Amino acid sequence: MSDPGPSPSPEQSAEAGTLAARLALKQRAGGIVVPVVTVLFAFLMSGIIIAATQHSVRTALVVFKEIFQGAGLNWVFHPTTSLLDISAYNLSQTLLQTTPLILTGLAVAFAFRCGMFNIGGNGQYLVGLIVANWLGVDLAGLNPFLHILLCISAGTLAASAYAGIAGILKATVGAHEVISTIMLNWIAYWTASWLIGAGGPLQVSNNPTNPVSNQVSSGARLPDFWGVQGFQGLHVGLFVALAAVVVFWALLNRTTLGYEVRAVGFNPDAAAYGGISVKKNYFRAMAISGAFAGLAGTLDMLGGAQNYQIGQLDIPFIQVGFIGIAVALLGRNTAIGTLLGAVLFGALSYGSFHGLGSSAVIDPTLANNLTYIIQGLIVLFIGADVLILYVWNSRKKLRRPPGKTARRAEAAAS
Amino acid sequence: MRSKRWILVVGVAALAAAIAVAALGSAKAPAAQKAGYKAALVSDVAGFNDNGFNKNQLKGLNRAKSKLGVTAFPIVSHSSSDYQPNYNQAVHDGSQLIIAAGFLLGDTMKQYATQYPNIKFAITDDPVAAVGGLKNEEGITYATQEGGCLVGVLAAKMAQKMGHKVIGVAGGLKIPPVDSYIAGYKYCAAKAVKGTKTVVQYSGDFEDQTKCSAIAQNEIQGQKAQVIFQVAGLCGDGALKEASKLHKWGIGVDADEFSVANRILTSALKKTDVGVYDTIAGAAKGKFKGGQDLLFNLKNNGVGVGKISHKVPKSWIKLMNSYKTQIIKGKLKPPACLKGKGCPKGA
Repeated sequence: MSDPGPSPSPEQSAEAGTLAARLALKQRAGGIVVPVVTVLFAFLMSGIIIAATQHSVRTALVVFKEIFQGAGLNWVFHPTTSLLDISAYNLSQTLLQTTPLILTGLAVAFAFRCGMFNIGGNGQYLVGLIVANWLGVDLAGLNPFLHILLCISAGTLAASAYAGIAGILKATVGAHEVISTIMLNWIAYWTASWLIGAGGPLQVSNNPTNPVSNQVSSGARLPDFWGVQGFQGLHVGLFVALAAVVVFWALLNRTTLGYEVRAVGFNPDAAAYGGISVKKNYFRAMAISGAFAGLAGTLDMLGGAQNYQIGQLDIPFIQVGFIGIAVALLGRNTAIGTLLGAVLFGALSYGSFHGLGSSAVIDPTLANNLTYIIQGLIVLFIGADVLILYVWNSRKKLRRPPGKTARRAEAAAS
Repeated sequence: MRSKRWILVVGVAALAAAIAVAALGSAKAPAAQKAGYKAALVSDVAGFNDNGFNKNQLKGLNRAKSKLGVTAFPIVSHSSSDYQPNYNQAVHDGSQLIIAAGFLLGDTMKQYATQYPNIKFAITDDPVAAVGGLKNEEGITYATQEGGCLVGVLAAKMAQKMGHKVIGVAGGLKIPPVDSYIAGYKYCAAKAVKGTKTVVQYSGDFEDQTKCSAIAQNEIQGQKAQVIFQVAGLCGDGALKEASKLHKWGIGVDADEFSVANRILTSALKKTDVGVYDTIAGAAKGKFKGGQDLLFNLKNNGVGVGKISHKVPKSWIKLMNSYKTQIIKGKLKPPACLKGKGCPKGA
């Protein structure tokens, strides 16, 4: 899963560097096997937990079946485009939830590649969401194509600028981006709550007691290509997200900007010695990262994931920015890995909530809590991939005579 | 060599998964084959494990299942983007009646009720007129101002005894079902003890206990409130706990919350289980009144008061019961909304 490139990648030039560097090398050496094993291990562990709490191994298997069917993945056994088929409908909803996760995953991954941890995906997503709603409502009557384009670009730019604040703070006064992005999350959270809350400037105009925003005007809505328009169908934003995956890859691996970002991410001192401005790249990487997350917000708003509006009560449930972290980690911060990670988490998120919420396999009063536990366990074990890597590597060391290991790791990395 | 082993690992895993799915896929769910009336209940974002609002509706559904032999589909939502898929699921399951567990599901219900005119719909806490007067929809409404009034009487008496005639409210969102409780509470408190002041704050949340706990602290320490009435679901439990901690009193909402904290005066009940059960029973017997509201109040035991603390003197309970009699007789009409935009009269 390493990035092939004509120029020597900056990562390879500093193999013997820091712990993080050696870890990164090992992660790449693990290739695709480790994420796959991690996911299987995570499911196995959560299966054991379910079997233990529900006192039945069968229940654990049924739970996984319900998650699988809830996500609509059984669609592959009898593919159809008809949404009267429940698996087709569920698959469309899974892909709908995957769309923003691809983008928030890319957002986190991009910052990671510059050595920064962007926890502010949620706040940047909210900025995109709110700006898209504001322009989507206020500029009603504009040419639909222009209107959509304007909403998307304005929301994306606003979120980019918002994340850029954290980048500037890090570059100028050295404020750690983890702290500043978390603080920016809360600022976005409460600002959005105020904007759409009772008496707020963006609150719905026909009902002063309902703390929700107006719905974006019909001209600014993204067309659904799979599903009934207006009934939360799958909208064309999915293709925008897929295009963003290509942009991410090209930006990082085929441009000078990407080279500099990766160099700074790998070793800022070495990059500075090589004539790369570390400060400038901190800002640039953060702004680009924010743009991905903001784009996710604009697509969700214009695509009708929340019925083209947002309510005050919806805000606490927005988690895509945080799930994006897990997506990026699982995807090894690469373009294709992030895409696959987003599909997994989209299916897991929609499949578990919907599958377990509607099947009564487990007590309906416990459905949401148990779903959170399963998701949490999977995230936890995905985070524990370093452990699995360690076991994987030490197993090989036991089997093979020393000396060969290093060479093999090197070979696998290229 | 190495790459072959990868293929083996992935292959075995895929095979195991395929076998598991195939084995389970053959075992069909038996519920779908059962005859009889089919009713679905879709929860709001709080799920069925809240303090009572959704949970009691599930109880009503389960009672309909055991007493009437109705096939029940409880469907849990965890965010507002679940509403659409959950309605789709209920339609797919063949539900003849789909009940929305609250105001928040109004827009989605309206869309589906318009799309599927042959399916019956009902919604807790939202009058038909507010949704758009659909013919295949019933509103399940509760005169919660009546229950709010009764607990307001006890709150005012307690505050007077404690030396400051101030009582507080920790509200969730400023929406009509929340405000009707508060309006009744405020109205009757001022009636029972002249000069009682009611302070109200909203948390904007029905989930996060810390937010309501902060409101209770603010009202008690900053504004000398002696009793806190929570109208914020799970969030409000934080207010009840905080009030107990500060040696003041709390009043529960919707369900009987006597055991949530040490110092609970009483609870204002909204018997959502009664509403759901009656709605299903009516529809199953062919007595569905489309386009109308079912009203649950003190008179038909749809709202009421929960367990009362033993620290409350008999004379207060007597006073409260006199208010109850007056309301049932129609002599006392507590307002259903607070002053401001959206409230019809000067309440």
